[in-house]
Amino acid sequence: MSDGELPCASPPCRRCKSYPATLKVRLEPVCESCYGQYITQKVVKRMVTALKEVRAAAGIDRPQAPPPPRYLVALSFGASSTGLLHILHENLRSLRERNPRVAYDLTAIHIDTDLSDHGDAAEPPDTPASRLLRTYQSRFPLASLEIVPLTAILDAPTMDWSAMPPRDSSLPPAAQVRKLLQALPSVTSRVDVLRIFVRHLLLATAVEKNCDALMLGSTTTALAELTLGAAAKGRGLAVPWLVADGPFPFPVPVAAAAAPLPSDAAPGGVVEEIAAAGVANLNTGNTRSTNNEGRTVPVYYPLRDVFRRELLAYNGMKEVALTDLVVEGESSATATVVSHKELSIEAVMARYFAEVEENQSNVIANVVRTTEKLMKVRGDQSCSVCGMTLDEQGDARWKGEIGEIGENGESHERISQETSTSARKLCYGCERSIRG
Amino acid sequence: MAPSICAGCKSARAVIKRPKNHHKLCKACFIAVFEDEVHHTIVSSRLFTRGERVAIGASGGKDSTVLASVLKTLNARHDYGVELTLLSIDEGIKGYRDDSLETVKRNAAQYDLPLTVLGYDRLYGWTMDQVVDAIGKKGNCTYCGVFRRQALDRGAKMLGIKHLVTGHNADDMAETILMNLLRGDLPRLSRSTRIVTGDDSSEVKRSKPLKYSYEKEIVLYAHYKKLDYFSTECVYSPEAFRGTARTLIKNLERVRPSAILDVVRSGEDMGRLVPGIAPTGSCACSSTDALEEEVENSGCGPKTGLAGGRLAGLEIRHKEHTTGNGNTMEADLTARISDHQGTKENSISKTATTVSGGQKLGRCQSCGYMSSQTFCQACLLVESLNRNKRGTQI
Ligand SMILES: [Zn+2]
Ligand SMILES: [Zn+2]
Ligand SMILES: [Zn+2]
Ligand SMILES: [Zn+2]
Repeated sequence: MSDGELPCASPPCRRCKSYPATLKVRLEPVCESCYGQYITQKVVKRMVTALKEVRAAAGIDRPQAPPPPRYLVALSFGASSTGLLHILHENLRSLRERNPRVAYDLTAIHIDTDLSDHGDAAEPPDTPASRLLRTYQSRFPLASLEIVPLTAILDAPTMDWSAMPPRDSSLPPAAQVRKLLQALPSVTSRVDVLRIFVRHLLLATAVEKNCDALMLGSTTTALAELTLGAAAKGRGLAVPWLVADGPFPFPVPVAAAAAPLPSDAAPGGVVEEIAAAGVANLNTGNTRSTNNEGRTVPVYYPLRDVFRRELLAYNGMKEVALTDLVVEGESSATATVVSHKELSIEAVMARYFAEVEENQSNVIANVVRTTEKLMKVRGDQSCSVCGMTLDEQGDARWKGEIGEIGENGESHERISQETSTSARKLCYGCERSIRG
Repeated sequence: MAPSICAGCKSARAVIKRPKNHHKLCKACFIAVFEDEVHHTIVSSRLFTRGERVAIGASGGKDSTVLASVLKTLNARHDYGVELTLLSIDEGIKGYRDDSLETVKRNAAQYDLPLTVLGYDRLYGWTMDQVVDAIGKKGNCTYCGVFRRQALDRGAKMLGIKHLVTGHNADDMAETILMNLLRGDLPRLSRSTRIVTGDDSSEVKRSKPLKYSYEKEIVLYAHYKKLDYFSTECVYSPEAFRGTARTLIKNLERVRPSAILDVVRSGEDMGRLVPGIAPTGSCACSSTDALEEEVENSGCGPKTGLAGGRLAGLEIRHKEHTTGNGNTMEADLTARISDHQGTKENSISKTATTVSGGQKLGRCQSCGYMSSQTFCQACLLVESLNRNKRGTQI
């Protein structure tokens, strides 16, 4: 619309002075176009950093004209990852037009967490996710979109099942995974382990497809939730790995990748957390080495400077119009609480930060900026479920200080039975989620 | 449904399910386990040395009452050889401490422990009521917070005791950890998770033997042991994040009861990841510790404002404080305080040492309390009160 149309209804944009201001950047009234630029620039800034790091990691042995980097976007079909895909897609379009030299290959992967039985049909079924994927593909023609079912976790090369409860392999894959999750002690455990599975599949897909980096759609708000959520689940040591940009340890055995799939699971559009990452140097000096030792996958959060409400405003702009496309999951911050037993820690955090975002968004930005500064430590031994470093010394100290009573005290039989078979290689957070 | 059998003795009927691990226990086994765990904490952290004199900060509330009872029991049972004494503070607010001080006096008799009650008049030369008379009720929250923060340390020092134990529980710890995350204060996150704060160079070291004990279990313990405690309502309104952090902790606990302990574990681990913090072993006594630390951990204690020593936003709801005179001095005082804060970064006292996180800490030249300034806030406030008193007398 032209600036003549709305003489006084909307003041003119403070930035371009030509279009009516319908949105705000902080307190400044701006038009949609300027708002879009504002959001996009934040993302592009992060992408430039990612490109530099990816190029540097690729080595100096490619003097000129390196091949375009390959980025894998985790797509949950939620608002954040959809918004990210849109921003990257628009960015890619303009790069290809104007500056192909710095363009990239864009792949988006959805981990389909639908575990109902149709997922096991022999032919690629017409699942809700695959239908949605086709809609997305037509909206984002420059990207290549794929689905990986959650059941791929059963064959994921990164998974070590020895510490998990036994599976019934006579069941179809979807039922196996479903039963496994249902058997976990709480809603929080299920969400936690599900996220870990999704992260496994994302990382494995990134490796399988030879991608240079995995792009996750978490906003600042989501990263703050992630930080406090991880802390509340006993995953404090993993926080810097989970929140900061940069190399993420590839879980255990990287054998020639089998079939994993990626996705960004959580219905709210935030995918990140999934795996807790490790600790290090805190370990005892066990130097058992694996063939993947030290292997990492670069992970970036290009939306890390964008608040959730800012992204929602972006998605709702006329030119962007993603709101109808996005699938919002049940566990959004506004759903009614039926019973606290049915809530996950993630849901509690989402509610909490939805409130904080309204009144004190600086707190959210502060949480993320601060926790990014924590040191990443990595030891020799990783948790067999989440892949993060084990902290045996910390575990021992903790047991001592807390005074957990062993044999004659209370019933640890349940635990000791389960652990006797496996070498008990779970981090504190996974131990809590899997064993209660 | 058949009643559950106690997982400990396998004979009695279980009456409680422990929040932190779901174990179902009978009353006797619960009491034993609760005490054993505190004992474990004390031993593995090497909290006490034989012959040491230890002051228990006693408010008459459940936490400090349980702490006194458990320490008395464990000291006898395991022969720690420490000399325990109860230390209570009387702010000098007419009527406010009457019931809780009576409770502490009964506790002293019940546990056969010596008790010292120290008033603000002895610690600072002013009771809170006198402060209110002098400056009016609006500014006194500043005094209450600052005075309260130091009161136990000053008291212990006055008694010649170098080790002060307080009743902070796991809920308090978890709350403090979340609060420090929310305000992005990593150095304090690191300090506040330690069981012992202060070291040989501090005049008074502080420790928290109940830091892994759930508030719910403390209440149960007090209930089953029929302890005599006074349920005080907190008279301070929580500072900005303290309130929301507490609500958040309660919500997390409802969703997953182990969350409180899980937060504590995370906080300790994250504390080790703070750049510039030397790793500590199980006995974290090497920390040079800071002044606000205690404030952070007291669920119902004195509060500071958001950013470290800022004093803004404090509020107290003593009903008694209805006097309304002397407003001018309040303004004067506020100016002094903000001035004081403004110079915080620049003025480094000669005795300053760099502690974890790069914060400069030294000692108040007047009272010796940890301070980043030449004089601590309490001494500044007292000085300001005295100065104004002299002024009005002339
Ligand atoms: Zn504009
Ligand atoms: Zn783990
Ligand atoms: Zn029993
Ligand atoms: Zn002083």
